[in-house]
Amino acid sequence: MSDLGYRFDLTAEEMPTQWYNILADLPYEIPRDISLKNNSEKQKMVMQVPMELIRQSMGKQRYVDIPDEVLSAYRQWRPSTLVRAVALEKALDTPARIYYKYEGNNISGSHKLTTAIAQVYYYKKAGVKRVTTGTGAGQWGSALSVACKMFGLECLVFMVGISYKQKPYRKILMKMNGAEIYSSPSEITEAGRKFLALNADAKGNIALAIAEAIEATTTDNSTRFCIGSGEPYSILHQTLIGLEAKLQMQKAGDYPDFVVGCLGAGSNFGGLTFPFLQDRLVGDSKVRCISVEPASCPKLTRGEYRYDFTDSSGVTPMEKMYTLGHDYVTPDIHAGGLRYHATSKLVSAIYHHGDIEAVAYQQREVFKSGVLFSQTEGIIPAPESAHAVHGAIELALAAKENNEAKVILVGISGHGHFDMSAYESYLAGELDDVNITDRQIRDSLDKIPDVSALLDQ
Amino acid sequence: MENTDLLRIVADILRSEAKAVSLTAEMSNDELLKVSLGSLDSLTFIHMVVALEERLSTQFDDEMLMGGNFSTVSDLVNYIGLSLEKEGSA
Repeated sequence: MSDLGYRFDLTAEEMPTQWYNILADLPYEIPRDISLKNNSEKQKMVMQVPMELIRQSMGKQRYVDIPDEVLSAYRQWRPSTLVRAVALEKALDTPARIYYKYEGNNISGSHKLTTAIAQVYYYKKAGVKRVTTGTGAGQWGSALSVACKMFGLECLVFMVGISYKQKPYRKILMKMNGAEIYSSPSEITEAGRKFLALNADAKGNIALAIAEAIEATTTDNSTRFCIGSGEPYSILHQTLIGLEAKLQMQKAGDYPDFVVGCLGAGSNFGGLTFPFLQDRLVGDSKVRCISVEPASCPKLTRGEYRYDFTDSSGVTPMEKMYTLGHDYVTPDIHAGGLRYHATSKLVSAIYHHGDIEAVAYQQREVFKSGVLFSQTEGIIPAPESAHAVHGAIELALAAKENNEAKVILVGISGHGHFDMSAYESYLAGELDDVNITDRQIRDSLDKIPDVSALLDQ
Repeated sequence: MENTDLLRIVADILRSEAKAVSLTAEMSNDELLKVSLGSLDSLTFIHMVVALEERLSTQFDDEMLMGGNFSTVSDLVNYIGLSLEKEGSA
């Protein structure tokens, strides 16, 4: 169904060579992180994250040059495609014009490689020989292992035990890229051994996988911890998606009324939408940026804007963000990348100030839209991306109802080839919608420590 | 810049950024140098490094910073001294 007249490709030379830093254009400050406790067991202080990345999280320089080595690595698959979804429009019989930006066309299968490459580059420049991380379903671990292979770093991954068993393909992808990978809890760390002694089933969880990765940095001075998605520097790197899309929309002679992305920790959503949001913040654009989240993990639509821990271990710094509480247990949905209990402090602040909007959908309607997208556009969206697809379809149907030729841009953050078992469950009628009660959310929020005393200092 | 001047700047910033590290105005330079940084969490350490970069109008070298082990104030002062020296000769 593809028609050359509906593809808006950029040449390699047209790829932007700078990232966009939205901090430069926000008329408000992002609240500072706070620490609740000090780690008194340590004897020494070791830096985990290169200052170059930390400066990118705090600085207000509007455009940040992408290093040449990073640009070269991006050229393996970037610029990514932007396509008008004419077959989907036809199937919906809508006057809306739908465009999608596709980030699944790289070996890791998702947008995450765009920041993994940049992060690994800065770690290498800082003299780090090996990076380590914890990964859940494996998207971040896959992207990091690919980036490490490109730049010649070793990669040590702790993958949540249950995913290690149930989702073998990303594990194989990591191994193909030379990563050393352990099922978490593992026998090689103190944290893993302790957990195994108490829990024979060894299913593990992401907080434990991260704790194992951090422990690995204390036993080897050339290893550093690298965590992905929600940090402002990670979103900065992902803005290349939105910057490319802006140029591509110009080629199409169109401009979006809506930009739609799914929301997990925030890098996909921020990366796609922030360059458009800039037009609204400093120009006269009326573009509406819409975040789509699962009804079972409704951080923006039903969470609270307050300080919380970034993971369930309760030892990380606290960030001011929309959260359901660090103890919130997301029901076992298939969009692993959207299960995080909170979202990035940057996206949160922007939502708090009313500059973006949020909707939440149940998984069955999401998968239905994912199947329609694959039938019409020839791409199986990852379950995460199917949320964005569903959001776009709802907007297109509303446009039909009102007979308005709205322009919708939707981000397809990754392909669903590693998630076929989820589609299988959907097709077999085995997926359930999950209704979270206000009480469940309240109980979880009530477990967050009160930090007002710290803020008054 | 003399290391004793640096020490005073580091001590100032420790007082404002790292309240968990107890420093008193009466401490001698030798006593300050021996103060442990082991109790700092990584976030406070980063805030301190950012504040030091601002105060000294410099950007520290990542390779040196990531390779360093900072047990005491003395380690940090030595590191900054070397970093400024390297910058000056670059």
